[in-house]
Amino acid sequence: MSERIDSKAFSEYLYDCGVCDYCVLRYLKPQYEEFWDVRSSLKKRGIKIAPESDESFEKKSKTNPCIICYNVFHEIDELIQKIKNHEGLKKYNQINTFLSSFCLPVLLELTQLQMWLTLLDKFPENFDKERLPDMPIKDAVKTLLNDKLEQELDKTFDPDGLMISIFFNIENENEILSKLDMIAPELMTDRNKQKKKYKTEVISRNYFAKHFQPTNIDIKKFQEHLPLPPSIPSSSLQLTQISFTGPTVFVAGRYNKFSRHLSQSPWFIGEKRMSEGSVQESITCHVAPYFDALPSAVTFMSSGREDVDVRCLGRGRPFALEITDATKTTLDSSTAADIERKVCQSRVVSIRDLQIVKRDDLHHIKSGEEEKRKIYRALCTLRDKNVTEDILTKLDISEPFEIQQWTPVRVLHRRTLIKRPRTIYKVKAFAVKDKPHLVVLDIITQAGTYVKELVHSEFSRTEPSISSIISMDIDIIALDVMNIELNFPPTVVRENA
Amino acid sequence: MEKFYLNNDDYEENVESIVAANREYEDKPFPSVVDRYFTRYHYKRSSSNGDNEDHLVLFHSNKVCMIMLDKNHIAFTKGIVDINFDVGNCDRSQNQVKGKHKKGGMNMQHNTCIAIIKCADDSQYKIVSCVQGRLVEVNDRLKTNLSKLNEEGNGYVAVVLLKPDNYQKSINILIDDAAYNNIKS
Repeated sequence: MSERIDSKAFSEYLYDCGVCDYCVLRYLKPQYEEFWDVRSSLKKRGIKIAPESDESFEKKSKTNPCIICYNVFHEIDELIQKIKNHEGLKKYNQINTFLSSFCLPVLLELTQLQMWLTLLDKFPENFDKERLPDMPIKDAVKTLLNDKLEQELDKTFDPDGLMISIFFNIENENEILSKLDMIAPELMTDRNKQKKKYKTEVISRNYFAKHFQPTNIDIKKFQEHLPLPPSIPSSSLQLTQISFTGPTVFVAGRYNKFSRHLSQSPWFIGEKRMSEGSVQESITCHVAPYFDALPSAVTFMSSGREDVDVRCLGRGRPFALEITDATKTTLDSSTAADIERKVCQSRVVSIRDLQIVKRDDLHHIKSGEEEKRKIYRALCTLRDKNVTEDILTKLDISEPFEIQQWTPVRVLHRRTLIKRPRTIYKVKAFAVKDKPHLVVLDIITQAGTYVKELVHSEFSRTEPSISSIISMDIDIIALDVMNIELNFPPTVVRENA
Repeated sequence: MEKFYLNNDDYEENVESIVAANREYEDKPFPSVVDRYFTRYHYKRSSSNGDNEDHLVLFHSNKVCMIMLDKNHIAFTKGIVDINFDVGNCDRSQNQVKGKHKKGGMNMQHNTCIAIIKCADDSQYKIVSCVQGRLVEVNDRLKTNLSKLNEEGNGYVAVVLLKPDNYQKSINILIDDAAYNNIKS
């Protein structure tokens, strides 16, 4: 345990080196709240503070920047005003939560280390190589910035909120950082191997923090190249960029597809578009504008998919959209109903139960793909044979049975060849008036069953099949998904709908 | 029979009955599975005495090929009594593929033997790959169901995955359906 330091003498020393009020406080084991009014906090601690210098802008430009933080703390108030008045913030006015992400120059890591080394040298009794001598700049800035932003923007801090990204720069940063090569070439070897990947920066924050610790630095050698304490900067750090990214929002619903010529997602072979439109685009194009998102910023997910020529009827197939950089996090019932109406106007796709869901809810969608039962209706043909009561009776099966299904040839190019067991829970057959060669089958299957192959057996690659059960050729003309047994997302009852 | 009729009230309002999908086929036959998913190509081959040993290749647009005997193959007139996937140095039914890239499948040239059929007169004929690619699957169910060999599709002997680079090369060796029928007539 190191000895307690005399904070008055210690702070006097720091001031002499050219350290600002905030950084002095950082070395005095402060509470975060103390940064709100740093000068009175220092006074309360009995510190003799330097004469007023940073209050008026005029004087500030004449005094030297802090040798450790390059005046980052002094910039905060101005920064917050810049954020508050930023053009880019306006479109997010409906979002009342935020989080900030700021990128401080790596050079500040070096100045903090330089000060640590200085203190080890000057006050060997009070500091050691293992424990940080100060509250890190980034922790103090983060707290102060977020507290002030909450107040000024009237938004609350929330990791799922609007992301405010702030970038700073120090003019001759790389020039100073490049001296690290000479100070500790052995610590830079791994980094220099990575150089191809990171051409722009000399060293990353993580790499610095991992490798440059007082425990593995030779102070003598260090001093040959860099001064202890750090020298007075020629200029303060500069704010280079403020950017905003809206939160990621998840919208779920169920869709119906009424067309036999519409794929679920845009269908390309190479560069060539194979069919016009898709379920995904029909939905996305009406949902994205409400969140001011580009359709390309929206990811479509669903509980399985049907073939291009298969309709999806009944309550529809559960789907979810992941919308990045959204400008809203809520969706009221009348807007949702309005979007549903617009999608429906396409006449080939309709949606219902449109609502905001949580990221955690998405597992329902994915589990539905693999676990839930699917109810189908298939129109089948016996070609030149006529349906008989015997056939229909054979196809009235209420006891579940298992089939073995080899990966169909039509998907073999993208799926592993494997024999999959699938359970068929129920089959019921109907005849069609005046069409003696037709059979309509209602089939309940385990998720993941290829129903077309279940009917015609695909050259006996699915067994048993409807064809093998009746010992006749039978083929499938059309298929409809009638229901997907998944109670997600919850049903929404719309008023006036 | 009445009790088996489909009741159209089972459908939700405004949803056209599935039976409507048959309208297209009221005055023409519904195409077969082979017609719907595959393009037929033929591989010319003949014995030294001129007997027809043609093969049929069912070509899926995803570059998966199903290899079978052409219906003009001499073996059908003689009567087939056996099919053997053990072609001497290698048993093709031991072929195993892994993952979606079908790793481990035996490499096939267009004249690589996949199986040997034996006819009633003890003569033997090779079934060859017809295309360059990777052997994915052999249809050993045929062993106990030789009559299927003569059924288009059901009689497939093997599934071969074309390598994308070999696509054009393989096609050039084959003859399309129209050209093949012209040669015959």
